[in-house]
Amino acid sequence: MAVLSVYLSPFAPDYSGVSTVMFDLNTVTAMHDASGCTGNYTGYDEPRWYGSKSPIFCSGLREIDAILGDDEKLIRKMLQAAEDLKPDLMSLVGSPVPMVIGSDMQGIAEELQARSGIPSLGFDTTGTAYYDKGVAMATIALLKKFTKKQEMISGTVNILGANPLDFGKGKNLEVLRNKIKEAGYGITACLSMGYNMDALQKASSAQVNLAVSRAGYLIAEYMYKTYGIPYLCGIPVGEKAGAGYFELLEEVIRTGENRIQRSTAEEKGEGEVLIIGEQVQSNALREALVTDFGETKVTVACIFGKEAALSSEGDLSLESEREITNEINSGKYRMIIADPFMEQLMEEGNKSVFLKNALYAVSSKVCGDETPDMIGADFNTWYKAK
Amino acid sequence: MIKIAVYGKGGIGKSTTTSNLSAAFSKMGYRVMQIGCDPKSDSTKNLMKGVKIPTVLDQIREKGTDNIKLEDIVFEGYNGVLCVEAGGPTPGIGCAGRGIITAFEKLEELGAYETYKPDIVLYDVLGDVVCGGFAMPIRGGYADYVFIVTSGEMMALFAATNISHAIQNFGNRGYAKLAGFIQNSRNVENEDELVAKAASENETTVVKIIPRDGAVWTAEQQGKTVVEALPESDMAGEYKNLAEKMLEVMKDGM
Repeated sequence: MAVLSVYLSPFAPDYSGVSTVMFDLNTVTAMHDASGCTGNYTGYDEPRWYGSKSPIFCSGLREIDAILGDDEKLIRKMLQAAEDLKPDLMSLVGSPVPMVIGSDMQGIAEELQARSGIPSLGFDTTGTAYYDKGVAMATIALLKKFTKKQEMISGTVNILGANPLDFGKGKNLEVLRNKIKEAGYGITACLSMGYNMDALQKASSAQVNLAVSRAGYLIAEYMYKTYGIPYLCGIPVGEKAGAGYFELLEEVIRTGENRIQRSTAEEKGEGEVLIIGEQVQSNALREALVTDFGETKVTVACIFGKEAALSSEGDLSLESEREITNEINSGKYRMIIADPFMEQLMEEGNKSVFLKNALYAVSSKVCGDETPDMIGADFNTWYKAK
Repeated sequence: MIKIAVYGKGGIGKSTTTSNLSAAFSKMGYRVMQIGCDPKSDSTKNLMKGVKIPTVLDQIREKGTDNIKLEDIVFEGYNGVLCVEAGGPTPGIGCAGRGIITAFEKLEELGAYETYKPDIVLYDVLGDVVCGGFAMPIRGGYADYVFIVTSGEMMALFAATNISHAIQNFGNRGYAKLAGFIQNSRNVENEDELVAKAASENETTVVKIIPRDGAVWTAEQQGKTVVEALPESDMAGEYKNLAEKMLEVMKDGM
């Protein structure tokens, strides 16, 4: 019972992460489920869904299909959809039932591709991992299939790990893209939100990768190993910290070495301020609080998993509502920055100031507008107003 | 690295054949890993002096899924053969097929193949491909070749045909290739002809006929393979010859 969530809804899962990556491409995506997972994605994990033409279907998996492992039925439906919609790509996304019965989504996709002639990808997503794993899994699969190593174009960057579960409808992402352009860089591809097949294929020509989320970091690691593109992992939040980010970017270009935006030893550790959320974004918020506002003790608590390479000493991984509740009410923090849903976890008498930073993977469209303006000096304005 | 899955009817001698093959390959200088994919988890017993090793699922049950290290599930047996048992649930409950998948995912997650860098991996798989989990060893990324152990007995040939069909059905999926039948003789009438006919009907060949020999029983009484217990025996020679023939077949297919 220690992992039971009483107040928080389940965080966005891996199959939603995969589906968000496929959204911008001319893809027919089928989620292999009874409809609950598809509904979860279209209803709560995809802010771009309503009014869009993105064809994401539910396979309509039923008990007898699970018993008989009737993959042929799924393949037939996909072939029919391909005939009607003429997609560039097809993808099959797993959910808990295929996971339990051992459906081989990658194998089925191979067969689909052989029979349709359309490039197809299968994802053995399970619904038991978080969205960031799905975003990374899908983007890396696309890169493997479509992006060959090519000549580097100086002064160009990719944005990696952009996805609606970290960036909602993309308000901050748009500002970030403009800032990057203002700084004189060309953007080759923004993976995997606001991109197309052409950009995907050119992605290996960028000089530097900018990983803006944990998913982005995982993709950047893959691209570094495969294409030799160095990366900067972070987000330019805050006026001074944001300027520091662009200095780091210049350093990556100069040295060809990877850099991770991270506070120094004296600027971290327990106490004072607690930031709960996605690791790269939380690190960037900490950087801004430290550099622009002189905070000295800021703790980052990851709720979707903690990447050791991105962590500072004292950072936390909170793996259940109970652990989040205990940390929020530990009495150590003057201020807490977290998703609005987590405010209800504050117990009576807790005097911490609570700043809302809506995370789409946690509170979906319910709190969609309560995300701070983060990029560059916008954060300073927002923070001062609070 | 060559990855081989050995299938066949329950009780036909898959584990005996696979363990002797592992021992023979190791004597030829290859680094070998044998993975038992059967809930009864006794595939590698004769490479481990007759002792059953803790299975991957035992360790997950005991230590929790995130607290397992490679050394908890990979054990070095005869002549350096690396032994792993996937394990399974308590009979009558749970899902053995899903257990195989979980065990395989755990080996991959812990980087077993990158760490030990085996030249040859042998998957010894439960009797028949009864569900998705037991097809795991032949999926893309796992075994490259499948060998089916059979005798001339009706039920063994029936199982061999079913397995062959399953592999052929997955032809478009980039799965393992059927590389041949291994005849584990039971001395039934016209056995060689029966097995050869079944192989031909399944568009494959009999890679090797292993004779029935008491040396196997003698070695197993000592908790060993024939290659270890009776290295100079004719039967040890038969297994070495089988290993060579399999390498030949796979070389042709590569």
